Amino acid sequence: MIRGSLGDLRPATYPVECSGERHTIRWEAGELSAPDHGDPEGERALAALGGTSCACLDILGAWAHHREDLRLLSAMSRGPGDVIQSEGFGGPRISGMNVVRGSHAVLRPGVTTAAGASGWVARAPLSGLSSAGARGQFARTPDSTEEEIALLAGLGRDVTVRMVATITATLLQQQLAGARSGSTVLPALEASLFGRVSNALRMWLGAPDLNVELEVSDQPEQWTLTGDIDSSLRLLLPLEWVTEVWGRDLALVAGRFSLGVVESSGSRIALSTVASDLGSPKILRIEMP
Amino acid sequence: MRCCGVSKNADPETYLRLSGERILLAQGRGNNMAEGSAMAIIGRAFIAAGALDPKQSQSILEEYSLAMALRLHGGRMRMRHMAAGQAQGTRLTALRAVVCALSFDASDEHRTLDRVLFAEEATHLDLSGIGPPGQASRSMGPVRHMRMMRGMGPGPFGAQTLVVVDDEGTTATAHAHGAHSSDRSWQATFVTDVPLNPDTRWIEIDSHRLGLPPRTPPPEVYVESVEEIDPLRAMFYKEILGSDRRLGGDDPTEVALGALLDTGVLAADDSLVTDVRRIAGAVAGGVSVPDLPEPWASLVRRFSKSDGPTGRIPIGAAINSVDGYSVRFDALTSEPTSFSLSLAVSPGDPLLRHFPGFELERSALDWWAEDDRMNSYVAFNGGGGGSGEIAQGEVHSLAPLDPQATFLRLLPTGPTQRGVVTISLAGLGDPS
Repeated sequence: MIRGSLGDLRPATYPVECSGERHTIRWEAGELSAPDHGDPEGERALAALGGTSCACLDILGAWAHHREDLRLLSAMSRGPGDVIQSEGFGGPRISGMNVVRGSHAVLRPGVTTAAGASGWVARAPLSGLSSAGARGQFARTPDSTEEEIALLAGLGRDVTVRMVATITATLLQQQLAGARSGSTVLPALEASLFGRVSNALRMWLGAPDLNVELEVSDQPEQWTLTGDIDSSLRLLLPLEWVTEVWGRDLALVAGRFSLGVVESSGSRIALSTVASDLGSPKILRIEMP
Repeated sequence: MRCCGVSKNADPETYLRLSGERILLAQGRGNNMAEGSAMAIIGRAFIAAGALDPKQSQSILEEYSLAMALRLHGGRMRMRHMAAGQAQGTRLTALRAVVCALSFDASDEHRTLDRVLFAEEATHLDLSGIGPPGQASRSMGPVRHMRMMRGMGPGPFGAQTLVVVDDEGTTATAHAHGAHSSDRSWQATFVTDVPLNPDTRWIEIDSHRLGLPPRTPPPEVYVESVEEIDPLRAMFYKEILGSDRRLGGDDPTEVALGALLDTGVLAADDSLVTDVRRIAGAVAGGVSVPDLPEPWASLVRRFSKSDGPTGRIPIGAAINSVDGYSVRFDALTSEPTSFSLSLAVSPGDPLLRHFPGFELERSALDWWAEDDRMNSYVAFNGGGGGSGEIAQGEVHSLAPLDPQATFLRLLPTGPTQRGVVTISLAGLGDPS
């Protein structure tokens, strides 16, 4: 999946308590936005001058820093059952945000401290987010990096699934274009695929100790699933599975495991799927109204 | 096509990352932090073999440490604890050690002076006490709780400070450090604010005069270089001596071997594989095998024995620096199946690494010893505490002392140096 086709993934939102109000963080087509803020860049500059903080803009700033960061792949949830608990993170450098867990989790700002306010100065500007130079010019401490990663990892399943898809698609595209060597990104992408597909298979089969042998396919549409649940499952999958299947939240559909997307157009999608008896793949078509 | 998941033919970085994924997938089922040590073992193996850059390995381990911290209650605190780094050390000293059991009654309880260590900067007194029957259950619970919370009081009946006097008239105030208590009894180490005369014939504790045995010549102490060995072999030797196995999880030697063999970094027919498995098997099983190299052959020899002498002797020796660590040996306690050394280390991290987690660095010191009967011994952390600057505790041997041995050479061993402290075992009691 190339960056443009991230638009095939439906948008996702996450509620955030920002400046005493309930705001929304929105992911769409690979971009994160704060629709409650008309001029995030301007507000950010004002906040920096006034020494105030805003949860939505903190999140956008963190995303600006880490949208191509391999560490997000290991930090973020592998899927259902892999719950992120980011309390304890989010110190003053990240403007004192706390994650409230629960069925209606909301990110809320903590007490803004002087240190938190100074943290603004160290942020990358929101403009030019796709420029590596712009992101790389601000020195951050290891703690603030961890806190930013934790902040993003705590944005709830819908948004984080899409952020993982975004990073994966971006890195694959860069690798294909020769902008990054495979050796710098492939190990992390392979580990990400292994963790996410293993989690999905374990959930699907109710087998928490399931042994998975994964072979990474060089071809985007080459996939198989064989083996024995009691011993081990052998999978052949492309790295794109993370963006095309897992990123769409389609790893498990109608009790079947999705190996890959055969066809996708608008509201229709056709998946190659297998049942839990590991029989031959069958095409499953989904149409959204 | 590339294969991963079970690791065969994976490159070292992918292999390391996959081990991290497996730990995350297993969260909530078993000891995740102990399992994290498997990832650290793999990282160390690849570094030692030159297959991964140390900085890169450290970065990957930190990445998965953060991922794990995001999945555990209190994970952030654990991460901070692990990332605390090494503190500044201080030079430890020991002028005289006394091991005793001098009892006296004070403050409605029976107290015993168990050990005195005279150092250049202070005097350390190990005291224990026991109160009258029934008192603890009547009123001491909250007091004990409060004292433990403050980290000050030695226990339900003990004083928090003592007045200590030597035969030259030096008067010192001793404060309690490192207290333990249970029901009516307590144990604590008191440290004086000024050093007492190391030649003193007696000391007074809160006006109770206690005679001390005569001062004996200090043990011989020196530092020597250790023979440099191949980094990969050295890594395996460290893993064989690793304490991770006692915390559960896989055999660290096999974890390291598996990583190197699965990735093709080490060939299956390499003689190192055979050597390492033979040594690890002998150490784990406590059974000697033919042609086992030294010091392993003389280490394993005493494993099955339970004829160690029973007793306790003072040591009172300090080493200024073994690869940057100052070590002070206070006393040796011998039992039929093992012996232990009371000691202090500065910086304190060799005694504080009870929790392997995702730490790439192993303890810099191994606690070797050898006697005049051609036996070698190795000891592991057996409990202790303190700070990054100084930690105090005990190390326990895997095997008992040879009852026929007359002296023991304590060998705290670092990467390039080892300390040598020779102590006489003459004071140790009857072998029976």
